[in-house]
This record gives sequence, structure tokens and C-alpha cells, in this order.
Amino acid sequence: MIRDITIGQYYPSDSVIHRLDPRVKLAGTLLYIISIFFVQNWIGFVLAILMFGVVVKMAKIPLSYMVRGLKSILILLIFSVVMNLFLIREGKVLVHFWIITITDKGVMTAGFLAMRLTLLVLGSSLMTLTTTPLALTDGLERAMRPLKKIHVPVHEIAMMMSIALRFIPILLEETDKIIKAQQARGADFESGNLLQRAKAMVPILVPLFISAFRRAEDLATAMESRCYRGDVGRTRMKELVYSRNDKIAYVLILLGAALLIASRYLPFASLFAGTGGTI
Amino acid sequence: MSIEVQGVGYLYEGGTPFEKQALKDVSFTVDKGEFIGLIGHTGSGKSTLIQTLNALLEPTEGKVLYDGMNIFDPEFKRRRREIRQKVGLVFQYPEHQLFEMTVYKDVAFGPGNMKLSEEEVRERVEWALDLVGLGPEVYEKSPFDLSGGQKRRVALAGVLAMRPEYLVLDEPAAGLDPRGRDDLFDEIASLRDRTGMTVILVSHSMDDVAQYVERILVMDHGHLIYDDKPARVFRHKEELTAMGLAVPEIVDLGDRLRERGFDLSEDIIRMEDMADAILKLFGKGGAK
Amino acid sequence: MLMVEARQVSYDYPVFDEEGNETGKQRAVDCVDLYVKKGEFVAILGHNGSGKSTLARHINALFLPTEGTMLLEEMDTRDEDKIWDIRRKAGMVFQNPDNQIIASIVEEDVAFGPENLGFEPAHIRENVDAALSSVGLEKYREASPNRMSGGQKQRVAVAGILAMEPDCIILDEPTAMLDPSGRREVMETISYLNKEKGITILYITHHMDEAAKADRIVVMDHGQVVMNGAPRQVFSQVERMKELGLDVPMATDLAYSLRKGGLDIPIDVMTMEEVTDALCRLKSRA
Repeated sequence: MIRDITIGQYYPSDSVIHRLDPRVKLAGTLLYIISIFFVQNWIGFVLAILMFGVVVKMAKIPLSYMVRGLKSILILLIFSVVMNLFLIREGKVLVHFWIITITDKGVMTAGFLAMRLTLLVLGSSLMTLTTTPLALTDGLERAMRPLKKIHVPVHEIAMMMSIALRFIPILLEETDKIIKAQQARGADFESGNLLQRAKAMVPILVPLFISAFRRAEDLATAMESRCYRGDVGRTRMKELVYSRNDKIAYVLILLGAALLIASRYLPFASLFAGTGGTI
Repeated sequence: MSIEVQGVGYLYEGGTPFEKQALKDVSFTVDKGEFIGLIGHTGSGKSTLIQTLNALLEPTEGKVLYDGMNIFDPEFKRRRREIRQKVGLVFQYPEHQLFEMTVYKDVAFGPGNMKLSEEEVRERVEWALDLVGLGPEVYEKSPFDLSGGQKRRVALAGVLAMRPEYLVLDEPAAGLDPRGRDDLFDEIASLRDRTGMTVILVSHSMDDVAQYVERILVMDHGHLIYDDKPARVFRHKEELTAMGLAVPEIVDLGDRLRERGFDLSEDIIRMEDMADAILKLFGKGGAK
Repeated sequence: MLMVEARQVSYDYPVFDEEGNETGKQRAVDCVDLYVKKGEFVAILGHNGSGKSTLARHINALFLPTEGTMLLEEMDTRDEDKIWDIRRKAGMVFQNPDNQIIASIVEEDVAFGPENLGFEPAHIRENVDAALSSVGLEKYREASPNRMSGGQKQRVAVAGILAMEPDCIILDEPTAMLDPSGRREVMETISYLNKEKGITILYITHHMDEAAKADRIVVMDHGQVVMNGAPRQVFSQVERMKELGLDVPMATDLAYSLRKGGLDIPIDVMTMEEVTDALCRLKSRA
């Protein structure tokens, strides 16, 4: 179901994490993702999972809700794990059957890869779950502000993103409705060859495009009526100002990232090491 | 010949913070030829309910029988398309689903999905467009060039062209102006007379449906609260008001007048009947 | 002082052929004179395509008249320097609640207008809080519009206008997509703003019971103003209204039928209460 996608969704709740400055969360997520690529052993992963767990706990988001979001990348996950499992031939052979060889190194690499991907997706969805789309675009707009000097339309990009985020759920719902309405007229989207299936999309796509254009036009009129004229003379109700918590969070994020990166160079780490693997 | 809804329940987004019981233990039977109003405010579950009638939505509890067969039995999966053609569902703002280059082609989409001969498709398209009061002059027009009311008629014809036995219309007059609304309701009533189709009108307005239907189902918070003749449903004025629904103004007037000593029947729900009854009381009968 | 002053306003839509060349013009608004006093509540009726929306869009300079002059608080809508003042003073609420909410959080959407006007952050905060409490949504400050009812969403849209400190609000069929309770919510909010805050209201609708609550009704047909008067006065012309493809309140309609049937009942009634009283008087006389 379309509704199962939790990436990009906001989970309303009142928590320390929700209240952090979006720039802190952006930086934190970015650093976390980078650090995860440095992690090369089990100790590092345990640390990364622990950090993630603590933040989820603080954000008061049920773990089951987060895990549901993983469904959407399940196929990608399985595919990359299987690829690594079968393609890596180094290390001690565990199973050898016909053309299939599975080595200890392969298992480890596949495992690490699965972990890395999972943490990557969970980590970034944690950001969107705890940050309203608008705050996120605000944060991005502020973070990208220096780029304005080289004529990057920062404000326009941010506005487009925030509108896209507002209308994604509406358009998803609309798609659902159009599909049902055409099914009610006997449309079949499930059988037939590729060409037939592609053709079957026309009755969905045409109404969807028309509706999107109509909405865009309405929205433009409404924005004009509310005195929108780009960022000329525009102020903000909530100017982003770092609070004490934000500063503490920055320190913690830096410490955490340093710890994850350092885990790679721990003297006894080689005992637990695997190789990078490929996605 | 009937549709039987047995203990149907539906849980939306189960297991999330947004989980919602849209339907709870709903049971009723629709017999062939009936004219029914399904009333409830937004979120009462009526839209969810009608989607279970033609197998677009599988209830999380209970079953729906079409002529005695459970349309959600796995073995009937292939027949679901057939059910959808027998139970024609016209969504709210159906003109938003038009997509073809011409009116004719758009109306032909439904019957075209039924593996009929070209001749049969043509016959159905012409029949359906005629039922909604549109002539051959619109066949080759783009549906997007028509007026709002005409677009809606084309969309309605698109469902009628499948020759459904049951026709379910979700807020068919939403967004139309007063004349457009009256014309559309009159057309629906007349197409029912001409075809003998079973019609279910879904609405949040008692005033709109009271005029036409013979039976009213009232939904609230996913429960089916009333299932009775209109005049009897309207006796529950307080309960209906509490559900955010109003009784027709004529019923309200009847109550006021009875309180003041007028001898008027509780069965009067239409304006014309009320006018006649009052005139008769004052000895001016047969005004019409 | 007049809030809105339309002097002989006409508007032509360009008509295009299939290749996109302009082939002619269609007159949507035709020599309209309309004067709205400060604090007035005016309902505009007319069937779809009668030109009422096009006229309404002239008031906040979304459209400029092809001929004639449109003034808002004595500012000419053609004056480009005044355009933002005009749009701030005359806010507009549209039919589809989803297509006019920009932000994914209620209070951030309400702040959109004042932000565009360059108000100070503290000033915006104050206006947003006041606007949300005026429409009775202070508890929904941080809610997502996607999870709200149609009536609530329209109230968010109204709050978004209020936060710009308008003198006049134009509503273009704000209840067309709502259910009865949503319609009631919007109507109550609008009446409150008109009566308690003195905001001038121009209200386009197809619902006669809503129009009956206005101080004055303006009826449009083929781009022209064809009727203009107090609700009782306009609705009592039942046949004329039906000719124009419009309705009258059911009470008026019933009184009209009774009168046609030979009963001596006043026709300028608008509620069932009034019909009841009139019938009781008749009965006691008989």
C-alpha cells in the first residue's frame, strides 16, 4: 500500500528531538550517514545501533512504526545482501554447492551491508519523522543561504520543496481514488504484458496530471492573494535561533561521529573486521 | 437478487498512530429495485462502506454477498471485475476521472473493458448518454470542453454504459448550482424509472435525498444507526442533530405546526405534500 | 466610506482556437456597478458561469477590469504601487480548502501572509495566535491540515487571511465542498468576524440559507447585476429567482406555493419559524 511509505512522513510528538533546530538534525543525519560508512566492525555497528536507539527513544517514536518504513526498501536490501553473499569468494568457505560459494567473509560483508543500509534508511527517516517538512526546508534554506551569492535560487527551491511535501499526501490519496474509480469502470491494472500494463496507466495518469495542474493553478492564485512575491521583503515568524539544547546536540553529534569513525581504528578491531562490500 | 452486507468492519491504517475504525459491524440487505439514501456526515464511514459493495475495498471483518455469493472469497477473485460492472459506483466529482479525447471514447471505456463487440459497445454508449440527456452532438467533443454539469453527466454515463444492476452515487450533486442539482436528481429519478435499476444515493444532505428515496440508511462513526422509511428515520430529530445531520426543513416545519395544534401527518416529508396538506386544512384543497 | 466601489466594470476573457491563437473575446463581467459599505455583509448569487467569481477576483486585483474602474478603500486596483496594500486589505478564501493551504502545519500556514508582508516576527506571532483564536482553532496550532475536516481547513484559510489584518474578506463558494457541519462552522465564523470584528464580507454561495444571513444580496446573470436588495426583498421574487436558475429558502418557496393555492400568507418569510407563526395567525383568524 501507498500509505506504508514512512520515509518523508512527519510523526507528530512532543520530544527533545522534535524541538531541535532543523539544521542540527540535518547536520546530525549527514554526519551519522558518513560515519556509518567508516564503520568496519561489529563494535562500530553496536555503537551505531545504540546511538540510533537512544535517539529513537528520546524522540518517542514507536520502533514498530519505523520498521514498517523499511518494507519499501526490502527488495533492495535482499538483492544487495544476496549479491554480496554469492559474489565474494575470499575467506573461509562455509558452503559450497554447484556454482554457489558462500564464505565467512561474504557473510560478514553481506551482514555489514544490510546493517549499513538499514541504519542509513532508518537514520534519515528519523530526521523526517521528527522534523516537519516545513522546518526541514527552512533548515535547508538557511544552511544553503551562502549559495545565494552565486545566484542559486535558494528560496525558490525551498518553497518548491515545502509545497511538494504538502501536496505529496494529497496527490497520493488522489491517485488511490482515481485508480479505484477506473477499477469501478472495469479497468484492469494487474494482468497483461508490459505494453498492456503501460497502456492501462493512461486512465490514471491523465486525470492525475489534470488535477495536479488545476491544484497548481489554484495554489498560485491563493499565494498571490496572500501577497506572495518571492522572498522580496519576506520575514519569518520563526527565525531559526540555536538554543542551549541545540548547542549540546551539536557537541554530542560530533562526539558520536568521532566515536564511530574511531571504532574502525581500535587496536583489537581487526578481530571483528569485515570488508566493505558493494551495493 | 440482492446485496447482503453481513457484519462488515473496516480498520484503516491499523497499527499506526492514525488507526481508525471506519466501519463496525454493519449489516443490511439491498433488494433489487430499491431506491435507497445512505446518509452520514464526512468520516461517518459511508464512503468506505460503498467501496466494499463492489469489491474495491476488502473489509477487515464480515462479508458482502452478491446474490448469495461472498464477493471476497478467494475463488471469486476473478469475478471481481464482473461484480464491479454489476454494481456501478460513481465517485464524488466523477468528472475528475475523465481522460479520453472524446466523450464517446470515455463513455466506451467501461463497456470496452467487458469484451463486448464493437456494435454492443456502441449501443451501450449511445444508450447511456441518452439516459443522462446528452445527444450525438457531444460524441466527438472533448469532455474537457464541456460545462461542469455536462462533464458530470458524461462521467455518470461512463458507469451507466456498463449496464449495472445497482448504481451507487456518492454526492452526485456536489458543487453544482441549484438548477444543476435539481436537474441531476430529477434525471437520476427518471433513469431509475426507465431502467428499474437499484439506486443508492450517498449524501450528507437529508433535504436532497428525502424527496426521492424510499428507504434511508444513516451512518455515524462507522455504525449503521437507522435503516428505515424516511419519515420514520426523521422522527429521531435529536439523535440526528447530535450526529451533525439535520432533518429536512419540511419535517421540522411539520413538528412546529403539530405543536401548535395543526392536524398534519408525520409522514409528510416533501414540500409539495406539505403545501397540499396545509391548503386542505384551510379548506383550499386541490390547489395543484 | 465605501469598502468596494465598482464603477462600470467589464471584463473580457480572450478566446483561443485549437492552435492557441486568440480568436475573440468573451465578456464575463458586463458593466457592473457595485458599492459595498464598510462592515456590510453582502452575498453574491448566480448560477455557474454568471460572472460572480470573475467579479470577485477584481476586488483584490487578481484581475484588472478591461473597462471601468475598481476601487478598494479608494485605491485603484490598476495602481501597481498599491497592489500589496489592496491584497492585504481584501483577503480571499477559495472553494477548495486543500488548494489554498501552503504549509503542512496550521500555524505556519497562517503565518504565510504576514511573512510575505514583511511583518516583524513578534508581530506575526501575535497575529497568528489572534487569528487562530478568532476562528476557534487555537488548539490546532501545530496540527497538520491533512488530518483536519473540510470545515476546519476552511477556517485555517480564513485565519490565514485574518493574520494579514484585512478590512474585507471575499469568500468564493467556501462551503461548496463541505458537509452540513462544516458549512455551519464556516458560516458561524464569518458571521462572528462581520458582527464582532466589523470586517466587510463578500460571500459567493449557492446555498440560499447562507445568503439569507447577509445584509444584502446581489444576484448576477450573464455578467450583469440583475437583482440587488435585502434578502427578504430578493427572495420574495420566487419566480424571478427560479428563472435565473437559483433557489430561494425552502420556507419562502413553501409560502409561495401556499399563496398560489389561495392562502393569504406573507411571501417575504425566510425561516420555517416565520411560516409557522404566519399560519398560526391565519388559523386564529379563521
